[in-house]
Amino acid sequence: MLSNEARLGLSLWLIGLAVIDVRRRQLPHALTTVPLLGVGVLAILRTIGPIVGLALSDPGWDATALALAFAAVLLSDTSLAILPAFAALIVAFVLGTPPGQVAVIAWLFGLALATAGILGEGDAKVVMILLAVCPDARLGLTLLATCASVGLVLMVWQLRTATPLWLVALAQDALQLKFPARTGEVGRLNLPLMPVLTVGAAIYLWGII
Amino acid sequence: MRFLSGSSGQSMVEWLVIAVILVAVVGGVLIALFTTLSGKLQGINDAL
Repeated sequence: MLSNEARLGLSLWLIGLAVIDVRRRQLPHALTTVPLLGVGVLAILRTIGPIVGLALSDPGWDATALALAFAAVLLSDTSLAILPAFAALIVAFVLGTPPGQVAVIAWLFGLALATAGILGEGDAKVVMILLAVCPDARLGLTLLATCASVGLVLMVWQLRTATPLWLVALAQDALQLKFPARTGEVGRLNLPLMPVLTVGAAIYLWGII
Repeated sequence: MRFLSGSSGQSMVEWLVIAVILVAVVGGVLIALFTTLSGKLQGINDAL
């Protein structure tokens, strides 16, 4: 479990991002991309550290899996990204530990959702940083449950009894791989997600569940 | 690097809902499958 200082730091970072997101609908690179690159570079250093004689803490295979997931992020403009992504999954599940598996799944899921045009890139980076710092499946599930609950309430509020039809139409599109990034769909509930993510993370960080 | 250079803070919440539902359904099926398979293999192992 994280220390109180770490939890406070993460909470303040998330609250700051939520305020910026509501005002500008954009998240600053200094608070999202830079920390993500930092986590990725650290994973690479921890992986190659023992090879080049750097005295870092024993990384196990989790750092290698995260470094491979980071390679998938760097190659995400091309279909080559599939190779390090699969390698990351294999390393995490065959050689790694549960925290490493959670971090890799979160990175690849966030990257996939952002590439499909479902999650904003800034939002995806925040989720990836959170689950790299705190690789706990309960945090991921809390974030997913919070987003899904808020989304479902907003869908019912907008279309009431037609919500199931809306869900079926979306599921059909998803199964036919007609994602927003391909179709150019703008969406009816295109919202700043940071406040929802902040609430979800706060529920986990401050032990409300 | 579109992903790294992008900074959008907007997400399509209705698509997130369907993604969560699909992940839950597929995850549930996989867990059920692995649990059943594990039980059957354990049974075979015990019988040997």
